[in-house]
Amino acid sequence: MASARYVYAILARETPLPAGLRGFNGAVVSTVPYRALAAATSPLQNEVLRPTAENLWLHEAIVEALRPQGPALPVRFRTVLADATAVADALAERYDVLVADLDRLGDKVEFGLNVLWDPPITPGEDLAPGSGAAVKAQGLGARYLHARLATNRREAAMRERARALARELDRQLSVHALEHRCTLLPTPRLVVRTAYLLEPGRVPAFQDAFAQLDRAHPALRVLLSGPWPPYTFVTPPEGDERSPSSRQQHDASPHQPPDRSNGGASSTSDHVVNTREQLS
Amino acid sequence: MNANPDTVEHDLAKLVLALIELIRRLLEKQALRRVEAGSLDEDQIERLGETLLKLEQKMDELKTTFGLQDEDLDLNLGPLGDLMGEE
Repeated sequence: MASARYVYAILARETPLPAGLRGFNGAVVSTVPYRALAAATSPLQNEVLRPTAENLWLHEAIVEALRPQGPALPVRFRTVLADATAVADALAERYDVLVADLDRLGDKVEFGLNVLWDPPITPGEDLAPGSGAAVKAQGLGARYLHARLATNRREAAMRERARALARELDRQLSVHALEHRCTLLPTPRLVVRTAYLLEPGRVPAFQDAFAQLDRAHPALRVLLSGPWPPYTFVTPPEGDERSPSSRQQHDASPHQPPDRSNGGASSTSDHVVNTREQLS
Repeated sequence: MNANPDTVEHDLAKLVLALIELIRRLLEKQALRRVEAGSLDEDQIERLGETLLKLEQKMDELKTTFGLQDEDLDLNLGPLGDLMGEE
């Protein structure tokens, strides 16, 4: 009985695999070809792969071992298809998109930028119309509405500051990137999360620009991770796109690579994709 | 919504509450605009605020009853963004 196939990456068909490459449970990584493409896969029996740091890093290690061999499109963690035929069918279904993505992204790298701040409060943001005795004189309903109004004003001010900061960061870093995708205020403490797509040759200049940025903003905690395979920029299957607001100014990341910036603990557990019948 | 017989009640509750939350937020937004514009008198502000407060409290109770969090009620409104996204 054919076993399920765990998919790591999409390659050009002629790309050789590194000798002795082994995936989950020590299974040999091999390719499933379709026309000019091939999927790097390994067999999976009845295992349920949990999004542990160990599993995420193994997936990442396989993808990174493949990339020196030739252009490779990373596939999301825990993409498992029924068998080799299903893998070939999935390649066929999205063939043109995958070929285009492999050409566009196969040799590119991604950097992730996270910027943390202490949410600012400026004079006038914490407004409530009236104070002390005037507020106490209001009924419950009026106090509720005025409090909501004050909260909205505070949040709007914070968003505007975050937007201005993100624009400034973008100005300095995006000149070195082919594309970037930004999410504004994914949490109150996280001002912006941006993924940058780079040519490998631009990495040193990008890292220098980042270092300057870091020095110029001592009040911020600016975390840069990478280079990664370009997970964020792979075209997702139709119906699997994130909502526009999760993209904010640009398209959002459908996949967050393992977070190396905190010493190896994975941050992808919230972004794991369950078993699907399509490849991305 | 996945039509799973084991979860259909929960999924339906999620959908219904998400729609109610959408309406609640729209009403609140409109109310706040009118408060800011000064087009409501004190009595109107009080009545509107009390109604919205009670609605919010009832929503919290229902979310607790069905074991739902705010993010569970997030709806993708297409070009309008997420229900729980930036306003």
